[in-house]
Amino acid sequence: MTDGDYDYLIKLLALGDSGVGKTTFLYRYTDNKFNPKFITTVGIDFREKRVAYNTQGPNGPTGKAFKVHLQLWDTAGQERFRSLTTAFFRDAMGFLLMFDLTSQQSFLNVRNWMSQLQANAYCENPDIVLIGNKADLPDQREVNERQARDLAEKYSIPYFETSAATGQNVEKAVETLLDLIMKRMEQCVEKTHIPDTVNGSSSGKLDGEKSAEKKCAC
Amino acid sequence: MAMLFSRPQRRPPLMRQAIKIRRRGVRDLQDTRPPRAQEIEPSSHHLSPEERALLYEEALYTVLYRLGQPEPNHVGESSELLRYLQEAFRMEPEEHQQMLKRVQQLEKPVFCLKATVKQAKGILGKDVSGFSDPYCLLGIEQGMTVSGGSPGLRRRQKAVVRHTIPEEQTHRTQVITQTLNPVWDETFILEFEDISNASFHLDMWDMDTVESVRQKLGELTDLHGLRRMFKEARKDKGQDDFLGNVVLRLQDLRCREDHWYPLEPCTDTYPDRGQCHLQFQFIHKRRATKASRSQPSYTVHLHLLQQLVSHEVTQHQAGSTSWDGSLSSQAATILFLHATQKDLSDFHRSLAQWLAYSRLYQSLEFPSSCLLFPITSIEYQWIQGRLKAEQLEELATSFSSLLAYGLSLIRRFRSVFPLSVPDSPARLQSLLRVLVQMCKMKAFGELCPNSDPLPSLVSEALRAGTVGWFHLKQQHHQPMVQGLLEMGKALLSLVQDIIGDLHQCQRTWNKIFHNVLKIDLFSMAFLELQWLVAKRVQDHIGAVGGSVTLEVGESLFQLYVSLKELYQLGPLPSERDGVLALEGFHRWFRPAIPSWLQKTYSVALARVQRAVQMDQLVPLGELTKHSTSAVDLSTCFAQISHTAQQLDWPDPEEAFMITVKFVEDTCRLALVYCSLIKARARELSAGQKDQGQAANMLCVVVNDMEQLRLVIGKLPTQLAWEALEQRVGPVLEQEQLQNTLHAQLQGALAGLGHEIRTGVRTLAEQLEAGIAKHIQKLVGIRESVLPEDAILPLMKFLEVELCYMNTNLVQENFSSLLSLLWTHTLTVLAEVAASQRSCPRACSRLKFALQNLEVCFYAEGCGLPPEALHTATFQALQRDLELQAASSRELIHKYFCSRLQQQAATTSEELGAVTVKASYRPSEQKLRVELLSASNLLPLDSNGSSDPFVQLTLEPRHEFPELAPRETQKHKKDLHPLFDETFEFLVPAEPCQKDGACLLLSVLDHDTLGTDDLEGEAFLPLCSVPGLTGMEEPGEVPQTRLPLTYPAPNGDPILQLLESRKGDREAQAFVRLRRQRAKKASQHGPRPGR
Repeated sequence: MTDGDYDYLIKLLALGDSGVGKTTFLYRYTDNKFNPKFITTVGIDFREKRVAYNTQGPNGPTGKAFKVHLQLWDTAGQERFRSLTTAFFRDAMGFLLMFDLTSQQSFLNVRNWMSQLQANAYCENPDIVLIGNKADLPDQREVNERQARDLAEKYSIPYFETSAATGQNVEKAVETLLDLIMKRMEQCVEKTHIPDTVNGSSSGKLDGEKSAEKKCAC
Repeated sequence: MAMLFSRPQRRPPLMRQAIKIRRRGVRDLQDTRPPRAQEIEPSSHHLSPEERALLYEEALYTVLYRLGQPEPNHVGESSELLRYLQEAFRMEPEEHQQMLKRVQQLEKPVFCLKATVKQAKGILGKDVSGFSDPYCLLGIEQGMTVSGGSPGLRRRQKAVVRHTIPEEQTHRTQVITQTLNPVWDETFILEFEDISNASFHLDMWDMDTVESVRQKLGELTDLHGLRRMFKEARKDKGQDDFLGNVVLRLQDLRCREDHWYPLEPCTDTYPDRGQCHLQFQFIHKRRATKASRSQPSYTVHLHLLQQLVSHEVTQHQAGSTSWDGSLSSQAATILFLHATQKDLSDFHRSLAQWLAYSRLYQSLEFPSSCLLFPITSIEYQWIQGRLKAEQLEELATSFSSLLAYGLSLIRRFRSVFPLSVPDSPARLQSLLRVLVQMCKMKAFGELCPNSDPLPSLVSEALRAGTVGWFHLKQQHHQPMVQGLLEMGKALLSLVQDIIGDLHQCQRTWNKIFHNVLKIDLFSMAFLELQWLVAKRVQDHIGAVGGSVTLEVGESLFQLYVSLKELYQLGPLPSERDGVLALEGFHRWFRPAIPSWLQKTYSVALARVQRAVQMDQLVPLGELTKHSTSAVDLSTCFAQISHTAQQLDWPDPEEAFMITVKFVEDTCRLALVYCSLIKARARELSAGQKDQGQAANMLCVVVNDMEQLRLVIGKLPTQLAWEALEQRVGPVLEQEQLQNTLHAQLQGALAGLGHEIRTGVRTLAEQLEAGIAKHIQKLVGIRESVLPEDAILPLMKFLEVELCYMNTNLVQENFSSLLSLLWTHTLTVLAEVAASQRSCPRACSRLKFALQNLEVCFYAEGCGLPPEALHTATFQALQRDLELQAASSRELIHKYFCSRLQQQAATTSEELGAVTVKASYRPSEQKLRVELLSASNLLPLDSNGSSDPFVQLTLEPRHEFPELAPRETQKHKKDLHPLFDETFEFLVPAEPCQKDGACLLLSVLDHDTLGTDDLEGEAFLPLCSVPGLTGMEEPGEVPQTRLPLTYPAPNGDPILQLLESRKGDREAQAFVRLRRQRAKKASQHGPRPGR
């Protein structure tokens, strides 16, 4: 599926307690399928998806569409992989911080994950969306929306209640995150013209065409 | 000596009573005075000046009162011995002279010959029983004048002892009854005055006692015995029988003798009287020296030995050679003389040697063989009872002292026996041998009963020594400044020292300890050290805590790698009992892994940046078309894989994550490199006007990326994916491996491929403009210019550019560049050709250009392969240009060619057919055509029939301008007319043989009211007519039946082309004619399905 023909390479990383549904969430997003069986992710997994992204000017979509290649890193929530998992935080450009709406504990641990992120990600305030998963199980719900929204507001990050089982909000959550990242990158590009891949932080824009044009205008 | 003996001496009172000593009674000889405490345990071989003086006196005395001939290797000259002594005792000459004088004034000792009668064999049997009851009488005859070998001696020998020696000086052995091989083993001390005129006498007698004849008769065994009995009866009662004697001059004897001597007869009867085994030794009694009077003999001897040996050793040291353990002949002589004179037993001598050497060994370096010899000797002769309590104590002390010393060396063996000194292992081994031999001794067992077994003592010493060594090393590495980094460094050095030490233990020391004592030093040291180091590492990591900075992480990495090396030194888990403290040590380092990964990445990134900065984007060489940074980059990736190998994380799942991270980082670096190298090319070409330079750099960039693709393609091997997949196979889904490793890499490779393609496209675009320009120019060139010359600029341009690209691009990218260019070139040609439709000259140039371009892109197999060249576009264009380039007449030819093809392909006779016979006579230049019939014609008239006739023309017309069309008779209402008419055309053969030359048979329906209708056309190729193929006259001419055809209804391309050539009247006329035909045909149209 990869032909290397894309404008941006974006790395996203899903994190959160074991069993909150990171793997099924990503599976729903990439393949639009749901696997109800719980299989613990060992260490780290990796998925890819190609999406189109339309840049948005101040007055809605400008129509310019980019091909974006998404690399989605699926991490193990288990404690034993914790320290190694943080090694992967460094290269991700955006984070899907997930908890389980049916588990108060997983919600409480969001704070720990946040501090892990702040310590290990490329910057102090990386792009994050907070995701409460398993919204399709209202009768088992332990975390109410108000609580979650308050926390998200405290960190000033978007919050979504999603369901990998039904697909509710799954795409929206990822798209929101992608939007945040693209905006940040645009700002970056405006500010500095140094290729930002060099400082090892964010964009993976392939600027082959542009450079070639510049070099060989004859 | 003569001088000594000539001096008047006061003879000491001789012992009137013979002193008979049994061998076991040696200790009786020893001075019974209790020794002084200092003598029991002299602390070292260094003597006080007084003691030294006493010892010197003793030594001088020994030399002065030397007796007996020298031993073969000994020094005979007393003066030499004295000189040696002076040196050995470091005496000043005056001091020496003084001492010598004093010793000379001392009373001389009582000289004694210690004689041992061991046994005899083969003596005469004098009794009736055939045996004898032998005993010996012995003594020293004094005062004989020296006359060696004179007849007097012979005479004296015959004299019996009891006649020549006063009774009180005569000694007698026991009687051994009824034997011919008596054993006595009795020792006698025989005093003598002057060695020069003294001789030793021994007679052997058969004891005869008064016995009853009956008793004797009872013993009588044979007649010979009876005769002896009578003979005996004749003798005096109690008269013993002489069995033989031994007479020896003392001055002929050496200091010690041990021989079998023949028993000499008194008369000449029975010359063979057997042999007697005697031992002699010249000893002193009542030595006047103070030492001899005050100290036990062997203590004195011991001191003398120590003095001389330490002299010898220091002599060697001064000459910077090592002492091999053998004494100089002077020392050997003196010690031998002293031991003999003092009548020291071998056992006591060995004891003295042991004590001396074992003491010296603790302060001087010499071969342990010196110790092994007395050990063996003592072991052979060991009887505890032979030593006095103090001596036993002294011996015990020497054992425990040497043992303690040996163990202390073993404890510190790492510093005492450094491997930097070549013979260290040998020295340690000999020390162990000595200890082993010593501890095996009976004497050791009896005197040190409470000593632990040597192996456990040595093990303990090694253990304690190892721990001590560790602490010493730890102390040594202790950092000056307290800090995590410094601590880490210190710990690392410590671990590396331990590894070094364990290697030495394993390679060198273990062999020695195992061979000699069956001690596994290496395992012991490994267990001990790993425990010690594990604790310290854990403490250190505890101190580091959770937040690992890059610097600390780096130091932890080194520590981890070293610990891994250490751990791998140890025995395999299957071979050891219990759990090592180091077991699972990698887990301690878990928190540091992210920092290691980060470090690896940032180092690699810095290298990539530097590599690009240094790069001038110049190809490395003719065959290597990439530049320096690509090379640096592969080194950089090799470094990552090296780090991965060093890490070699034991936990499979975590190892998997680490590998995934390495793959991610590598892929990332590859993409970073792409953007950096392109930026570098922009930067370098920005200042340059030369377009070629920029293109050149772009080529290099493309090649660099290509090279990079090759390099990261090797990641699976470099990071050992296969092994990893086997390890994690049981716990991981295959899909996860596929995603995280393979898909990730594929993504990066695809990204690179995209970059490369983009680069190649850019290069292609740059050339495309040039190609288009040149092709455009082609058609504008004056008509007079030949096509060969017209295409020259284009070909030249391509040659230069492609040659350049070929040199600068790797083959793969050059091919894709060619491919792009080829497509582009064809498009441009097609466009230009379309715009030049009505201009055959231009098109012929384009056609010529296409031919040449094909050759150029094929490049004799080095360019594009034929299948890539002959695309559909190419083929269409080729066809198109072929036509457009042709002149109108050529096109007309082609038209007929295609009609002939159509004719040949038509089998259906739905329009009917004509039958003709055609032949050509070359001699008359006549084409003869017999038109036989037509059949199955379509009814074209309203009456359901037709009025057919056939028009015959030779086509193309311009080839046969003279010949008018011919016609047959018109038949009425006949769809199967039989014409049977013959026509003759006068034509030369040459135009008939051209391509497309044909006889056109047009079957028409005659209409009186309007124009005639077309039934159909038939084309007979002239080249098939007999007489035109071959040049012979035709014989029998075959009939040819030709199905009728229609001209193609909707626009033949040739006709269209001709029609477009507005200015060409011939073309226009031809087209008009053909259009008319087509129009005629279309009026009724084909009826398919008839």
